[in-house]
Amino acid sequence: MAPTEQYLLVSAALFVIGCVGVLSRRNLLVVLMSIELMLNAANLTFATFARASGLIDGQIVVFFVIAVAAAEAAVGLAIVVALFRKKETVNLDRFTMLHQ
Amino acid sequence: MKPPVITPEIVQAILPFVILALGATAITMTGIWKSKRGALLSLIVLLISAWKLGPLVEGGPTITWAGAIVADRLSMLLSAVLVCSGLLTVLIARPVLRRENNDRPEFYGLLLFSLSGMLLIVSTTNLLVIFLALELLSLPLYILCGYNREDARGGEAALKYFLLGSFSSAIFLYGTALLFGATGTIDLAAMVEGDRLLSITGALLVLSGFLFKVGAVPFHMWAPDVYDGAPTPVTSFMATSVKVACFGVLLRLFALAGEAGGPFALLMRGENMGNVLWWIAVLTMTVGNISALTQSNIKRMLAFSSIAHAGYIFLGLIPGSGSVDVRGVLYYLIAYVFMTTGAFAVVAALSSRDRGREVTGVERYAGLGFRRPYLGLAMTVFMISLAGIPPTAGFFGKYLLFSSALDRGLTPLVVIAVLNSALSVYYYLRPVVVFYMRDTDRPVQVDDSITLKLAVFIGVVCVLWGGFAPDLGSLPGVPTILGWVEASAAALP
Repeated sequence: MAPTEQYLLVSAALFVIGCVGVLSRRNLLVVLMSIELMLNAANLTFATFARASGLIDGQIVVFFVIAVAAAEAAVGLAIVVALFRKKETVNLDRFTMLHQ
Repeated sequence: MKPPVITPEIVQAILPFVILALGATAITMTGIWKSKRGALLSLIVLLISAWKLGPLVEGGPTITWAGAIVADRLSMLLSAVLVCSGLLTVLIARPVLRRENNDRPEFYGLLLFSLSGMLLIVSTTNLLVIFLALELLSLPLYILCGYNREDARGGEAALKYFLLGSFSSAIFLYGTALLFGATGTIDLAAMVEGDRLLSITGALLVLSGFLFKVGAVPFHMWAPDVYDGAPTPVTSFMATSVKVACFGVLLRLFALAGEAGGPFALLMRGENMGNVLWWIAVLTMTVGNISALTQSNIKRMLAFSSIAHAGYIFLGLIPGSGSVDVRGVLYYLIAYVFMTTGAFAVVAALSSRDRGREVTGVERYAGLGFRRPYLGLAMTVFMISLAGIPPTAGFFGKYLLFSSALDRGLTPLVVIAVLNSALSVYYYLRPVVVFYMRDTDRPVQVDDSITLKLAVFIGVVCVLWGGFAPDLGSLPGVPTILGWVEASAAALP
């Protein structure tokens, strides 16, 4: 079995990739996926710590987070679809009405 | 470990929350037969919830399931404030939705769902429950921002709020995971300082998640755009209730950390400039106030003003040489709810839509002060309260926060805060000047519905009551906001 540190490194890497994705990508769907990646990074961290310490709390959290992530994706995609119907694009840079 | 037992006290403690959640579900369902009674039903649900909340405000604490539900006087006072804010929002929302031909029960259902999340988040110390409640309060709000589908700006506001909101939730969750690793628990009350690096990183990430939600610098960029693009009743709800809920959590978090140590105590060390909270407070109030100076759109102006107010509230969260100023923060939050909701109610009465786009420029108010004396007077009361001029609740809240901060040795911070508040008088008085000192012949439609008037009236009464009542406090039998606040503050360590 791989030591705890390696799992933590993987989850930290996932989190950073997600963060960079949210901040730098312009495609809305990719941004949504990056957010999911960040949530899953947190899940992996929870599971790792739960296993390393033998405490069940962390694994319970993961179940709740999976459910919440699904709800969040549903709302997010609905908003994206509603906007796509108006503008026919999923490029973030095209949504600029609020600055005027 | 024994399975948790459900006692009558626990049922009582979660009843207000359960009523809201069930009511929200029921109201959303009435959409099937295109019911127009959403507002009425939600008012009934809110009043039942408030009625069940009443006895708890005076009662003792119920702590259960390892801190998953903490029903003490603090959480009950915050819940009561939140329910009040929900009532006012319904009063403001109904006429606005009616005149836009958009009065559907989903709006009120989502509002109540969000409110139930807020009630939950202020009555827990468990990080998992905090995360769930945070999502429960945020997800309906994302939808509400884009509620008006004719309005493209509302859709964009929803998108922006959703992206940054879920981004901040993810950051918060990762911070929670690190804290769990460092301390071996997700109950804030049981946390002791574990591994130093993990603790500090985790605490910082959790804090950033909340900074996003309350719109504190450097995570405030979304606030003006989202507040501007969302429908006015939703903006009012976001600007007040979300702040009350999140500052409620921060208050509990820092009060617990100040007492028992743990990861968050690490963030609170260091005097003045050495403290991360010090910088957040200074930057938030300064950036908020300076940006508000140049706004001519009143919704954007109130958005920046709400950022500035978050900065003042942070003043109370810095322990300095003493402990967290629970009394000042609570009083300020209550004052802030009534003055901001009141101001937004006036904005809602005066706004109109031009090809789907909401028009809320300050110049529209020219001359209304004399043609609509009561409305003008109400707006003046709200503005001087926001600026912190006596005899209003806003002034007394600032007085409590600043004087307590001076006692805790935060003199430089108080000086900056007072300068900021002087600066803010300029932009708060501008709508008042336009109201009374300019005139046009251009007719402006004013919404005369009774519920809007009621919301404005409640706002004025509470703002003035909060401003005058501190002096009446010595009279027996006169209830004061300060009295309730002090009783709640005693609930925390």
